[in-house]
Amino acid sequence: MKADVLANYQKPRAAFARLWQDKCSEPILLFCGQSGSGKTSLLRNCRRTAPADACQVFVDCKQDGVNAAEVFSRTVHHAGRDRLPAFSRWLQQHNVEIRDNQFEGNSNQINVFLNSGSKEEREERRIVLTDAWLQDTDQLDSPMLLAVDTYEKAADDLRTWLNSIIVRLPRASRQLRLVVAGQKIPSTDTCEDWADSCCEHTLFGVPEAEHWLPVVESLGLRVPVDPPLTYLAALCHAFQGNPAKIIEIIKTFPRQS
Amino acid sequence: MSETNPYQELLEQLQACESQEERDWLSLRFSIAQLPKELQAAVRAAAVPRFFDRAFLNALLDHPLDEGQFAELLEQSYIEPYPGKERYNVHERSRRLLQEKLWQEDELLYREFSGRAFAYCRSQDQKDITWRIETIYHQLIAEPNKGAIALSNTCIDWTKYPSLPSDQAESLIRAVREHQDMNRLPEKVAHYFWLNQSRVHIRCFRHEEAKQSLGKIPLSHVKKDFYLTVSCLEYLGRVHALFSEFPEAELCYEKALSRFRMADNWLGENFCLLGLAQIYLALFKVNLARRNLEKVLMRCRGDQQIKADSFLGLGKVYLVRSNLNKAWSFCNKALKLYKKIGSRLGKANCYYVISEIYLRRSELLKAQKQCGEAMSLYSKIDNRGGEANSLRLFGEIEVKAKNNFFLAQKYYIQASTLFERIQCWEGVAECLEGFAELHQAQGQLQQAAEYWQKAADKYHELVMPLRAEQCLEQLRQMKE
Repeated sequence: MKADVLANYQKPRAAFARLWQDKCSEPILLFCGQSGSGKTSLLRNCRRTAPADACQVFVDCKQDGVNAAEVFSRTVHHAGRDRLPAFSRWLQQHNVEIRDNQFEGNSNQINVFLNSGSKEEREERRIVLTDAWLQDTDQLDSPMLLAVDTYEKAADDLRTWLNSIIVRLPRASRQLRLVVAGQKIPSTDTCEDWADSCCEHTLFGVPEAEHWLPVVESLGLRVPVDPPLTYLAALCHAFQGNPAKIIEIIKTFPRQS
Repeated sequence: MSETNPYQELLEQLQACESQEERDWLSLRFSIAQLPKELQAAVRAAAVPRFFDRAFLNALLDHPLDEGQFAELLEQSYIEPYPGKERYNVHERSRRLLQEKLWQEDELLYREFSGRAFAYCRSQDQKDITWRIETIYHQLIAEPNKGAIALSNTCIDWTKYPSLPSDQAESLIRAVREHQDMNRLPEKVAHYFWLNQSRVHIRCFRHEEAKQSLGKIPLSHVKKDFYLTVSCLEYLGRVHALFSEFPEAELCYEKALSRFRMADNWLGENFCLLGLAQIYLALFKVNLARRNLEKVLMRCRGDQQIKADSFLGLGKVYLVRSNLNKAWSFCNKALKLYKKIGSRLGKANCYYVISEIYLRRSELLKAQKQCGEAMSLYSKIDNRGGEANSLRLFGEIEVKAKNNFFLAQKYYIQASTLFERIQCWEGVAECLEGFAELHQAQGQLQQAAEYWQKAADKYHELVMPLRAEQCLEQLRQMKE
C-alpha cells in the first residue's frame, strides 16, 4: 500500500476508528467528495490504521468488470476457506472448487457459477451465497472490513449488490464493517432502516495552513517562502483547500538542510 | 540584483488566474517542470492510457525508463495505484488536464502515443477484459474506423446473451466515453459510440437512456453508412415500440426497410417486415400484419427463426380474427420450430398465445397451465415485458373463471406496475381494460365504465384508434 501523508480529516478518521469499538453502532461509513478531495488517500490511510487482526477486502470500482464474485473471492483470499464455512460448504455442494491462495482463479470460478443458468437461478445463487457470506462474516473471530473506492464508477450489478448489503448489514453481521468512498455514494435518503447505522462525511478539502505544515515537515521538506504559514495559507486559499493540488506543490518544495 | 523566488512567482501567478482549471494546470505544469526531461516525457505519455505498468509505459516512450526513474515517477503525487498487480494511473483530474493540453497542443504526438499503446495492448491477452477494453480504447484514436468496428463487435459479443452479466460491456462503454466527453472521436466514430451506448442501455433495460443515446445520431447525416443507419433505425424502431410509440416505430422500420431493399438485403428486409407486423398487430391492422408475415414466409429462404416468427405472427393474426383453429395450427407450427432451434423467447411467446387461445375456448385450466409455462420462461430469460403480459393474462383467466376476483385484481396490479416500470404504455392500457372487465364481472358497472373510458383515453393518447374504439364499443354495450 502506498504511504500517504494526510492533512487533517480528523473527523472521518475518528469515525473510522469508532468502527472498531466493542459496540459499534454505525458499521457503515461513507466518504463523499469531488475529484482530488483526498478520498482515496483517506481510505488508504484508514485501512492502514485498521486493527491488525481485521480481515480487509478492498474493491476499487475503477477496475473493469469488478462485481460481487470478485468481492467473494477476495474474502476467501484474505480470510481463508476455514473461516468461511457456510460459504465454502455451499460452493462445495455445487462443485465449485475454491482455494485459499487462488485469487483470480476463484474469482473466475465464482463468476461462472453466479452467472450461469436462468435469471431465477442466478438471483437465487447470489442471494444464497450472499446470505452464507454474511453469516460467515458474522461468525468471524475478528472484524472484517469491506472498503469500496470510486463507487461512482461501479457497474449497475455491483451497485445493486452493494446496496443490498448496506440495507442488511446492521442486522445481518456483527463483524462486518463497510466503508464506501466516491464522488457519489449510496443515498441515505432512500432507506431510514440503515441511515441510523451509517456515518456520512463530505470531504471539502483541507483549507487550513496549520494542517499542512506538519505534512511538509514529515516529508523532510521546507516551505521555500517566508513566513511559511502565510505562504501555505495563500496556497491553500488559491486551491480552495483541494488536497491533491496542495500536495502537488508541496512535493516540489526543497529538502530541509 | 536579488533573484526571484520561483515559488513566490508561482503564488502570484496562481492568484492572478481567473479559473480553477487555469490554476490546476499552472500547478501541474510547475510540478512537472521540476522533474528531469525523461520523466517529463513519461508523465505526458502516462496520461494517455487508463493505466500503466513499467513495460506498458516504456512501450510508449522513445527513451524507456529504468527502474530508478520509474520509481521516481511513482513518487509523484498525481500517480496512484490502479487495480491489478504493479499497475498505476495518473490521477483523474491531472490526467484529464494532461490529455486536454496534449490533444490541443500536439495532437500528432497524442495519436503517436495511442498508436504505440494500441500495438502494445494488441499483443496482450485479449481474453482478459481489461486488455481487450484498453486495446479498443487506443485503437479508436490510432485507427478510428477500425476501432469503431472493433467497439461494435465486442459490444455485440458482450451483450448478446441475456444470461451474461452486463458489467463488461458497461466498463467498455465507460472507457470509450472518456474519448467522447473530450471530443477526441471523429463524428462518424462518435455515432458508433452512441449506437453501442444504446446497445448496452437496451441490454440493461434502460430504454429511456437508449432512446436518448440514439437521438444523438443525426440520421440525415449518416445516410452513407449503411450499417450505422440500419442499426440505428432498427434500435429506434424497437425502443419506440417498447414505449408504445407505434407511429414513430413504424416510421423507423419503414425507413430501414427501404434501405434494406435498395441494398438487396433480404435478411434485414424480413426483420423489418416482422417488426412492422408486430406494430400492425398492436394497432389491430390485421390485414397489413398478415400481408407482411406472408411476404416474409415466401422469402425466408429456409431460415428457421424467421419462419417460426412468421408462423407465430400469423397465429396472432388469426387469434385477433377469432379463427381459433387456424391460430392454434400456426402457433403449434411455430412452437415446433422454436423447440428445434432452441429459442426460449420463441417458446415463451408461443405458450403465451396458446394460453390466450385456450382462454377464448374457455378451457381455463389449460390456459392457466400454458400461461404458467410462458411466465416461467420469460422470467428465466429476464424478459420483463413477457412477465408483465403473463401476469395480465393470469388476471384475465381469473376474471373469466369468476372464482377469485381478489387474485385477478392482484395480478392486474402487478402487471400494471411492471408495465409502468418498463414504460410499456400499451400494456398499461390493456391492464385498464382488465380492470374494467374485472368490475363488470362483479356487477360494479360504474367503476367498469370509468375504466373502459380510461383505457380508451390511453389508447387515443398512444395513437391506437382502433383499440380505443373497441373499448368505447364495450362501454356502449355495457350501458345498453
